[in-house]
Amino acid sequence: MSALSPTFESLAALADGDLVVRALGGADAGFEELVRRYQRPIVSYVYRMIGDYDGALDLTQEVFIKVYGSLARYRSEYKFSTWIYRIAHNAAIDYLRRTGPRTQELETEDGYERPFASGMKTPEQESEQKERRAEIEDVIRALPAAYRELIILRHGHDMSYDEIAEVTGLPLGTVKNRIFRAREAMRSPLVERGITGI
Amino acid sequence: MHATPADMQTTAACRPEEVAAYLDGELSAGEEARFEQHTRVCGSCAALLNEQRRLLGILTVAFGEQLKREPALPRDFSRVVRVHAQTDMRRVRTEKKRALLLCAALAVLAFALLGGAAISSALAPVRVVARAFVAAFYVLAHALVETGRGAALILRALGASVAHEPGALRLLTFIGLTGAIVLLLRLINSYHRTRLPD
Repeated sequence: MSALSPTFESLAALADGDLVVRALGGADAGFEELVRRYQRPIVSYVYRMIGDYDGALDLTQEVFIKVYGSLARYRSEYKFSTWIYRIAHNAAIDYLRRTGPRTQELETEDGYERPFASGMKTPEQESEQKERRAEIEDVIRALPAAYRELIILRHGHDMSYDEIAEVTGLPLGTVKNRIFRAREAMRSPLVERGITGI
Repeated sequence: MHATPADMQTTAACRPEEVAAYLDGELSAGEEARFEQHTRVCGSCAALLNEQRRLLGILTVAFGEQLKREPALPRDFSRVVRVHAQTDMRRVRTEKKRALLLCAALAVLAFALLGGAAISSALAPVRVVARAFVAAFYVLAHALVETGRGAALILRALGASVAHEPGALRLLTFIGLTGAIVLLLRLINSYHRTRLPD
């Protein structure tokens, strides 16, 4: 075991706010632990927003660079996760404004699903599951960005309506309304594709 | 065939957007009670609630596994991001310093180009403030001198009256000598105290 391991283990036990304090105090490991903690959720969120894996990686880097530059402005009375998602939301919205939504397929030509690591499955199961995932991704991607984001935050990141309102800057009533409408908008496409879930 | 909000006969009391929030447990206690009471008497909202409940079941199963899948990340992503963030921060700081220096240089250049006449008019407010300060200082100094003069007059009068009293001169000499001895002892004592660390 390397000499650095205990440091990382002890950092992993710290709260986000403590890591921010350490990072502000000049500890590189503090910020790196924050990145390690949030890199996957943020890449996942940004990827689903913009539909481009490489773009999502670049944008995630930009998000963390902004986070690093704004750490001194972070106020501990807010949840760090909400704060970082808010920065990611702004970055994704700017990106979509600049480029427009992408419609890149999730799977590459050789059938290798690049963005997400797959578990151990039989080839048939894998193929069936891949097909189903692609169908679901299609339904999500077909949603308008304003609806898609709320569905991603609610179902993919388990956020409460209050947190979603904070991240997106929308009034709580609008969040309730849009989540209802987004689900309604997904009903027919899911049924048409034979995805009944239960 | 599934019912959609458009198919429903809604009334002013119907709040279809609260259906999703109700199922997600995002209504306040009062809103929840009001909603439940309403769905007991409103067939449209009750049907909508059942439809959304079923839809939520589908979404939870379908999206639960799909949206929570986290993307595969490049090796050492967190370290790379941290290094980029720090490099960017250093670049921003250097640029800020350069911009500051440039501003200062431009200011100096502007003063030089404006010439003596322009400088004198630009410095007019500074001159007014400086004059006000000098006047205030003069008044203060004058007041101090006058106070000193007054004190000297009082002391002279006191000294003259005491000198005419028999034995008073001797008493004053005794007090002066005692004071001098006490002062000398304290000085010697403090001198020894400062030399102790050596």
